[in-house]
Amino acid sequence: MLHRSDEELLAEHLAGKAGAFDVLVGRYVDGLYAFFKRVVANAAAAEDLVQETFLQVHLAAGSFDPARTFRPWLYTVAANKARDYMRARGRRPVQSLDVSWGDADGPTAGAQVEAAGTAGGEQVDGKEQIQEVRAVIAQMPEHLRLILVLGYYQRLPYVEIAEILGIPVGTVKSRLHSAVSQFAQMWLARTKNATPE
Amino acid sequence: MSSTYEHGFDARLLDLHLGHLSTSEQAELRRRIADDPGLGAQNEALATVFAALRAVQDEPVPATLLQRVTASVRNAGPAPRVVRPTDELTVATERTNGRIIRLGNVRDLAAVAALIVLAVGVGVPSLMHMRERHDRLGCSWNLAQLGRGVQQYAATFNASLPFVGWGQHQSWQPSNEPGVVMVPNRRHVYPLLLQAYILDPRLFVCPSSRGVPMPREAVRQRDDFLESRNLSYAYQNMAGVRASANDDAGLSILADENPLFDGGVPLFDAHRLPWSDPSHVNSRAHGGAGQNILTLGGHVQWTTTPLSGVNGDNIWTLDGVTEYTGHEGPRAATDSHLLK
Repeated sequence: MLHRSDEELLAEHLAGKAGAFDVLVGRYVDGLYAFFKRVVANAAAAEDLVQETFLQVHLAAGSFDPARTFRPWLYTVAANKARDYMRARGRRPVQSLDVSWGDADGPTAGAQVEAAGTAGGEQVDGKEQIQEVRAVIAQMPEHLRLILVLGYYQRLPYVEIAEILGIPVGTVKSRLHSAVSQFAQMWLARTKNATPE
Repeated sequence: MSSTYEHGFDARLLDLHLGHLSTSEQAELRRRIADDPGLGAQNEALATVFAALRAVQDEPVPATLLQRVTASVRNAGPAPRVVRPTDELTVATERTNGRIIRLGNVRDLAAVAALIVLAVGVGVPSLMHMRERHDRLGCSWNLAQLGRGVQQYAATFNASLPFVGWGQHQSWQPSNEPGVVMVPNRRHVYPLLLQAYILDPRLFVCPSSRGVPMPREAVRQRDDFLESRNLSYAYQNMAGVRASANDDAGLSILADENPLFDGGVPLFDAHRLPWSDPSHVNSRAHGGAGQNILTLGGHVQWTTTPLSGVNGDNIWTLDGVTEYTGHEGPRAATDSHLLK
């Protein structure tokens, strides 16, 4: 059973074969937990959302089109759960950092990436750096945070991300580019603020 | 020449750091980085940014999470079987296709030839009638497949019907109002194709219409059908109260083209429309004889009157609305208003 494809396992689960769904859960539970942990930045919520996602996949398994691929469908459900959670919590993107974004008079994002590259590593390190990175990701707008996690941390192909988020592949690339640029900008702002006077 | 996005650094560098380049592409880009100091600086900077991101490693999954997930799934009982609303239709259509396949048999060929002679003898009108019936069956098959896609979409999106968003500065018909942009109602159908709930663009085109399927290679590059002809069917107006998959199963959500609107523009004077004459108020897709309608419950039915919605609702118009500006939508989840 371990060598079965995801789609075959789901079909076997629908047919009532015991253990098939457990194998699917085993394949994806780590990845989904890491996904939710980074997107919602809350361990307890991440656990709940993993459970809710698999439960919805189980309940909707009958409507899954066998001609499609399982993983993008799973992550589509997961991304919707994450969005619902963030909206229910009333989270709004926090962008009010000291450095302006998209300001015609300010530095370009490319320059900010370069500046972040030269400044970031010198100011913070170790555990502090991890906390800082988490904080920056948590402050990013929802759509950029989602694509950064899917594209960088989950390492999903552009085509799958396009399917998950329901956007064209070109939009995936440009949005991921924006996400990395904005992370660099916010990272730079934080590390600048952390610099002792 | 390098491709760059508007934010400044070379897009290929992102592909490089995310591992989306082939070995030869990587080698070529690294040569360019070595030759171009500006590109080299961008690459170093990006490497530092990704090093910061990399510092946040995956945390161990709580030991009991796997058991809790599998237990909650077991407690939910067996996976519900989805009753395919199209099963009967599928069988009927397969039977029809079976006849076509058996045309390869000599005896069947002779029978078909005799039928053709008979048909010619009876006359061309009868032949046209048969063709229309065949197209009508193909049309109902299309709608049944689209209904299946709608149900899968709803299962993924918390019972929501396909929807791309709506705001007060949008209109589903051409508008001269300042700051108002036209968003044709057909846009809400497009996620079915873009997100691969429906894989074949031909299913959006009624065989009786003059429609042209959306080119497959263009699907991923767009957020709307290329042209109006890529969609033959009218979809529930999403500007007002939006029904969910849990609402009245008899609600009409997709049907042959609305004869009363063209590109969102009303073509009629509701007070003078001869509602008693079906040829004037039925969809023109099937010669005014009637229209195929898909309900929320997934059933496809052929009706000879537009008064086929919930409690005899007129599926072409909104309840209580006589002047259409493009902002109106249903005021109740039982009011159908199907348009492109």
